[in-house]
Amino acid sequence: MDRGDDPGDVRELIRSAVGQLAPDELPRFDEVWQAYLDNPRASTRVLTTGDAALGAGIDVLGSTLTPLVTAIASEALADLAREPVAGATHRLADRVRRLRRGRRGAAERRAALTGPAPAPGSLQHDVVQALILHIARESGCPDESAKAIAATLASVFAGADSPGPQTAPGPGAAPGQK
Amino acid sequence: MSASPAVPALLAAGAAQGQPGGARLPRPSTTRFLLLILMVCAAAMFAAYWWLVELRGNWVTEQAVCLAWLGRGTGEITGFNGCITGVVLRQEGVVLLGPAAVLAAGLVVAAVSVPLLLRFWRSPRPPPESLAERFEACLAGTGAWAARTGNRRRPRLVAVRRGTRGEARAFGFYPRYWVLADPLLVAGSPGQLTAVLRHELAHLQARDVDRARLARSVWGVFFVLVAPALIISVARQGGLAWLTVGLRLLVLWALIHLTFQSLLRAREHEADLLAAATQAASPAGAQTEPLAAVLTQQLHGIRSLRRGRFPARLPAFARAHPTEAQRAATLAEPRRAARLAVPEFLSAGVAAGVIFQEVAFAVGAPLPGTAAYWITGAVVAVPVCLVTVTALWRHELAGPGPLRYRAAAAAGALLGAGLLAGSQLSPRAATNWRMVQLVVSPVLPANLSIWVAGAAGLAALSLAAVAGGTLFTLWALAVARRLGPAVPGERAVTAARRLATGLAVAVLAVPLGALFAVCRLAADSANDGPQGASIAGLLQSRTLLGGLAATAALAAAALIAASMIAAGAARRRQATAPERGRGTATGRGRAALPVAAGCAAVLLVPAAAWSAGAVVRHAITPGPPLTAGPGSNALPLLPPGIARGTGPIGPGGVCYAEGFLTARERADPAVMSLLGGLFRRTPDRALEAVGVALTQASLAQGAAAADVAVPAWLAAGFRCNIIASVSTSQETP
Repeated sequence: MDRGDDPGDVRELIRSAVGQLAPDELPRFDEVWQAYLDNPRASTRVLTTGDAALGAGIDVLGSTLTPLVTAIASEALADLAREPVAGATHRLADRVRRLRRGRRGAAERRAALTGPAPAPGSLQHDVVQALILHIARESGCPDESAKAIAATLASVFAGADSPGPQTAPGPGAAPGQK
Repeated sequence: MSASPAVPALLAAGAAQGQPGGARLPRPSTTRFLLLILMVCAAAMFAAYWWLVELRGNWVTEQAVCLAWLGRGTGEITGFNGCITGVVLRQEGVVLLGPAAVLAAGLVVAAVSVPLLLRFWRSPRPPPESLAERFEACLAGTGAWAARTGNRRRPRLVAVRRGTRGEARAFGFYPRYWVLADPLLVAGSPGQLTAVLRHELAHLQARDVDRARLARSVWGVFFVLVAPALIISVARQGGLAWLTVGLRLLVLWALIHLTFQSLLRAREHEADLLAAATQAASPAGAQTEPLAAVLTQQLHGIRSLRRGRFPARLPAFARAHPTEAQRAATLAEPRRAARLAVPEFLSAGVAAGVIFQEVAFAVGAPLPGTAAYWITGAVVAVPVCLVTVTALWRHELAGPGPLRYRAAAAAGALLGAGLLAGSQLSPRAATNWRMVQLVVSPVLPANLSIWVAGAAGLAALSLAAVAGGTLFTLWALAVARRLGPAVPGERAVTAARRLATGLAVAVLAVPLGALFAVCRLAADSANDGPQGASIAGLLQSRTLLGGLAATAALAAAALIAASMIAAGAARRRQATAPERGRGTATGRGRAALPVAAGCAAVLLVPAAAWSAGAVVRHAITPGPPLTAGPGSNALPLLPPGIARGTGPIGPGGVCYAEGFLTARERADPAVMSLLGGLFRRTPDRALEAVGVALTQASLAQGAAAADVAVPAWLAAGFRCNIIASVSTSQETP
């Protein structure tokens, strides 16, 4: 996806990412988006809050990508908004440490989703992808899924340096597989 | 085995109210809840005994008041014994407050925690619209809610922010219930959402939410509040009793926790089956994806973003919920839910073992002697049979094929082993309480640890428990296998199962009571001298032998009757469908087997008890002689001053002498005359009446002698305990 310098709407960007990763979930995207905005939890709590085994045995949050992608995107955007993008490369390690330290505020995540999207030209694709990959891994999802999510979100936010179409871990894929 | 999806599901899961064709088979979660409550109640009884009786000096002041009865003249022994019995009865009444307090506190916590947790979890926003609509559709699919659940209030859907642990859960306490749902559930497919909501509504239909909440609360109240306080309190008394009590409570905690987990797993299967049955019965159900299909898709089709975490790596028996694979397998084959859980028999045994002695003391307060053990046997046999016999019937009627006798024997052996293990896990068996407190209730043994019986004694008790549990389970299975399929109609099956449970209680009462009576005598030998004579006397007593013979006869009669009913049913089936009646000759052969086994049991069971008594009697090491020599009236066990009648009888003499007296020796006129004369010579006027009574008894014959001697011996023992307690408390700085 190449957006040039048009910041665009964050919601549409994430919808686009979900469309690439899990097109079967697109019809329910708006409701999930609203549910997430009502309670913008950290990405680490999307998969760990509800242990499906402790409920009906139907692992909804563990088998759908929209909530996780939205949470990861909100966290990445909140992180990018907090620091100037310039010099992000050498500050990445510092950010990673702080990410580990604690949860981002819900208000920050909500603001990141409802505010303007960062201008694609201001983001370094590799840095954004590395940041999102780290957040995705921290959220608890398998490495292959984390890589797919990071690549797709980086391409929709950073635009020009898109690595090309990403294959989502779609129906039929075993855990850890694309 | 072919399985009709609806009926086995209801049989396996137990029928919810209003469920069509519901057979009244108690659900596995019901019996596990019963086990959990039993174990907590036993431990709570001990806690109450510790704080309200033991730490209050065994109410020795109240007992000492009773001494005033002695020396009053007419009726003094009866009055003294009655007074002591009254004190002990009040003690046991107070001990029963322990379970009552824990259960009441558990109820309060369960009721109060619901609004608090709801306030903490609840999201201020309403649930997503599509989720709410789907919830209403699922609720409508369950039919008339009030008729189905007996509750006019319909459950409500609530969105939560945090803390529910699962993505959705049924929550509440009678009469208000909610289905709590994570709003992000809307990300799921329609099939997933429907399956989740139907499952949670099934929990409410099955009315298991209160039970699970109460179990959790009672568990929490006891192990978070009561158990630590008890260990600290025991530790403050000094010694290492706190360690042994603490370890037992730790093991009990683990057992109760595992029982709680198995309760949760059972209720999940039940909810799955009920949800599937409700969906199958609902006109709209056909339009949605079955729960089994959704689970299967999850297992084999769709992605999983979760890595294996800690709960997933736990062994099956320690998990709070079944795995998705187990759930899918049970939905595909509902009879799996009714399969016999062999470890359940171990839990039942442990629970009964833990509680037995506590109940025996409560019963023993008004009824000293072995009668208390028979009655306690019947009381404790009720929950044991409710769990075990129900499990056998459930497997036979709704399980995946007939239960193998080998599996039943293993379950029975575990039941017996659990009984013995439970008796040793009881906190009261933790130590020799006379070494800790030096004040022990007259009707309570100071020691219940059967380790003091030695390796041979322990092996014999274990063998008796395991063999008894195995025989009982095989008998109960044989009755269930004959009677269950033979009676027509679900109401008749229910009645037959209840009858079989009642019979099982009657069959178990005497052997159970005898086992624990022997355990008590074997354990208490550490304090009261060699008890082999008592054990042998008990095992060879006419009462026990008669009781065992009657038990064996009852068991045999039940089995023969069940076989006859089964044979009659087979003949009727043959008349209606001759091609299916080929096994008649075999059936006659099978009918003869219970008759032979019953006759053998009536002879062999009492004979085994008598032989065990003979072995014990043979192994007894002779104690010191009661008299200094033939014709002597001196008692070498007593200090010379007491024996000569010039000094008062202190705390040790009578107790020690009585500890060596067997039941037979107490009925011996020579012994009664000897001790009666001693009591009359002592300056202690309180003993004069006892001495006179014993002397009178020595001159009487048969029942008349016993009528006088038994209360006299009892009064002597009571008095001795009071004096021992008072002198100890006076000596203790």
